[in-house]
Amino acid sequence: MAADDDRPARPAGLSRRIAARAPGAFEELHALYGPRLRSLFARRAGGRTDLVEDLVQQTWAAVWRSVSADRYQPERAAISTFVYAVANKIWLQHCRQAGRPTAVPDEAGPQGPPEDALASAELLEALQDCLRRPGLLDDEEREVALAAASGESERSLAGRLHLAASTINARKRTAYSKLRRCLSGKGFGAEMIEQLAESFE
Amino acid sequence: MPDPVLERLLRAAVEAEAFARPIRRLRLASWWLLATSGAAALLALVFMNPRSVTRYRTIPAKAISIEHVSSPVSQAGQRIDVLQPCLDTAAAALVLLRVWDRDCSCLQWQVHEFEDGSTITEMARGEAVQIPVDVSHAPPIEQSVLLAVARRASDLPSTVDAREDLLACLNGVCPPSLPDEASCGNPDVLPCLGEGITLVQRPFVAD
Repeated sequence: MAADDDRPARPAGLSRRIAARAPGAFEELHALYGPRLRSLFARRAGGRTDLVEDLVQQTWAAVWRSVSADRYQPERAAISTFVYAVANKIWLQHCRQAGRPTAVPDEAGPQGPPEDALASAELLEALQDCLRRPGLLDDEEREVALAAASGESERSLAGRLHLAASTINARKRTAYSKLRRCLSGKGFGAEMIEQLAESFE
Repeated sequence: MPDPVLERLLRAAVEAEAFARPIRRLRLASWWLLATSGAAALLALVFMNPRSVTRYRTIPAKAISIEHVSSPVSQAGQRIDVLQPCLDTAAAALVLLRVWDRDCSCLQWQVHEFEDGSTITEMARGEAVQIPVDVSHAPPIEQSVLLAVARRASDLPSTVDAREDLLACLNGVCPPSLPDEASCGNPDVLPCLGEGITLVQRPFVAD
């Protein structure tokens, strides 16, 4: 379950410099991903700026604690994905404390051990790799899987792609099955996927 | 067979990849026009085929111009300036305004509503659209209009929920501010919009 080095658009070496606590690395991380983090929380918090700032600070503090305790391992996931995974945990934690209904069952929330965020990040990168793997999904399967995951209805998808709804359903089923097999080949069995997916809404 | 767990992970994987992309800032020669060519690099496209990339191609920022026409104060003490976006290609447009709000004495975001109540308009090539802005009570400070354009109206936030989400996001990244606070440019707000959208900012001063 090691992270590949050829993923696009990632500041070279930042993950390693963060893990090594190199001077200036955390400031660079903050400058690069601070606006994204704020935007991520802003979308979820409905424009409550005080809450957004609080969640952003909690996320950076949690990331820094993990890095300081050597719990972040750059060979497992890029620092950006790790920050994203931590942010999701912080958000779900906030939702649970605020009593906001989420898709997460009560008994398995974001309060797991900090290394869960790293495992969640690793799972996301594994899935990204599977989606990109040449020959795994054909174009139609990939488009159907991503559109369905984004909430587009089968009917809308069928109209857009000029395919029968039954064909859309079959493509989706095939794509999901291939992705599950691909994840399994990377060491993510069904039970682990189920557990780690609870970190995400 | 539905697989909600995998669907949740797919959504997160796409969002995480978009999150991982550093924000790129572009500068154009003109001092008043800051433009970037959209969120085309957003992640879903990475996973799509070249045919899809063509379909989602963004409109180049240089195809968009926005004029600011000052108006005299009327006898009733009202002053309505006009902003005139014009495209050299047909496209759908959404107009975002960061303008003076008398109630809070601050700059606030607004989504412009056209006369028919819609917030998205189909613009023909070479046709200017009139955006009246009431600047009667605005001090001589920099306000701005952001024009979000896409080849397809469906790429722009059209539902009430989508517009509310957009305003919430805009207020998150660029909160209501006083005139002497830092300005907010389109690189800041670009993450609030989806892929396939080009955003052009035009500051103006009602002086």
